[in-house]
Amino acid sequence: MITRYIHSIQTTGPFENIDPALVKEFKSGFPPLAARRMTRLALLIGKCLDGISILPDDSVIYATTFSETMCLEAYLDSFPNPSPLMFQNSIHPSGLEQVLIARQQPVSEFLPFAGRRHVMHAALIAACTTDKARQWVIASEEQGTWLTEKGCGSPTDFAFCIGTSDSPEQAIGKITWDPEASDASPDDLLAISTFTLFQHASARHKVASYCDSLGRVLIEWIA
Amino acid sequence: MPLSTFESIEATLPPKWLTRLESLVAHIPARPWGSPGYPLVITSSNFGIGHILAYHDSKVDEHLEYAQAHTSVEKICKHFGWRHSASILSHACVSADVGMLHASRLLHKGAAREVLVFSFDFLSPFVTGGFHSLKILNSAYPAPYANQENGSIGLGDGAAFVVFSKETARFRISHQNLANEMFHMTSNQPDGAGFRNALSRIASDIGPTRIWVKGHGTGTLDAGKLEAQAVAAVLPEAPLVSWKGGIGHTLGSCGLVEINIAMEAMIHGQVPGTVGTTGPTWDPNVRTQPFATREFHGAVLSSNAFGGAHASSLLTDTSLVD
Repeated sequence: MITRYIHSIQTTGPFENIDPALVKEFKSGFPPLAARRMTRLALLIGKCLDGISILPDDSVIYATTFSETMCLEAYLDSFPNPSPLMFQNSIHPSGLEQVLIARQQPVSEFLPFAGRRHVMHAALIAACTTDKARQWVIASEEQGTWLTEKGCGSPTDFAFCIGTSDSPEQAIGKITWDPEASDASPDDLLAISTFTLFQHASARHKVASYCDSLGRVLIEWIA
Repeated sequence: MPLSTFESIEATLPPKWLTRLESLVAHIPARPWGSPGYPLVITSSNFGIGHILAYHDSKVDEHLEYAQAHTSVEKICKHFGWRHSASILSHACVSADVGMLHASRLLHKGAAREVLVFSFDFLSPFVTGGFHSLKILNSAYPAPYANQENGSIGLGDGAAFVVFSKETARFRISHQNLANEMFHMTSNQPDGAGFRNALSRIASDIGPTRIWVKGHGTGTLDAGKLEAQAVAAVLPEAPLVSWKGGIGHTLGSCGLVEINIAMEAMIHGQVPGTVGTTGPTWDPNVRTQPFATREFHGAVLSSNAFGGAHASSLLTDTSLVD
């Protein structure tokens, strides 16, 4: 069993059909030149990371299923003259990279996960396996237009960041990974999407997930 | 200069890349991949993204079944009979390196007897169009680390796998390192500090070991110059090679494709030189001709990516050093 202690959780959203004025407000957290080029997903993540100080030696773990949905739509529409900005911003893990670049925030360890059913399970395990003393698990999705209608985009905008470390002092919760668990228990979720964890973590709900070959991850909150 | 190994880069149904993977998968040891004790780590920078442009143009829904990371991996797992419990990582051109680091950790933390790391990247108009828009894809063949006025990259299809085990094997991967400059989306710190810092970490870890360096060396001018100069400064005794002039840049899979070439080089006792580079280079450490492996204890393998990402590791042939 490996345990990481949760020290903070910050969330943004969820927003359905987000008000453009709010997106404009998110831009105020960045230098104007950078903000003009940033995607909505990046701005959501930036808002979520307000006040969070990521140190160069921290482990930064990012998870997203649909990634840069709006940017991807714009890139596709730019053919046959593909847009270089939309191309570079559409590449996973651009959402969080844009924020860290705008902050000029180098990090020694950046682990970007993709996928759907097990994306958060894998990301939480990454927080448990790193040798770095502090870990940030950051996840985000943005609503698209036709990609969302086709099931290839999120129906809502949201972002969350869970800050963890090896230290139990002043912890508000803990993540426990049992790599040897070889069977699901009745309460285990067999899939844990970014939005599922967003909902559970926002409400401080206990959550357990199981994945074949990756054991069980349990998140518990300290009252 | 797109260097697709296959005849066309247009998306097809069913995807030809899935069929192409069959010959590679045939070499993977038979294990219950995806079951307890045998996790899968799958990486790519593109997955089936070419299909999303194909859908955009054709409105054929079936393309969407292959277009995203999770859908393409589900198709792969189903096609090859793997249980879909894969950890999926994607970090542009260091995707495979990040996947190998994650796999090592799963192994060392007791989650696995063996871990399969599998990576695939196939070219598509989506990807080549994007690289062309960045003005780094032109009519010239790549000449990594060449001291010339213009750079050019060559893109290539690539897929590869490694199986990590705690059991002793001929090849050992160690000292896996990541670093991210977060300086600019498509360029590195102009003074080369990002390259030097990333290499310094592994150099200090491995000490005075005689090694050669398999660099990232895509053929772009600025990054190639910074990388060659950083290797010369941090590992002055180490010869530097890049193979992307020969096989193309296999994008997110390059780390896994090239570790396999490095192992073959060690098996055969000869390291391929920097294919495509003939004239003066940014640093005399760059080797354009093949050289023997017998004087070296191992190789530092480096990859870089958008966002100023760096990955490096040490590959050793245990039959020589243990």
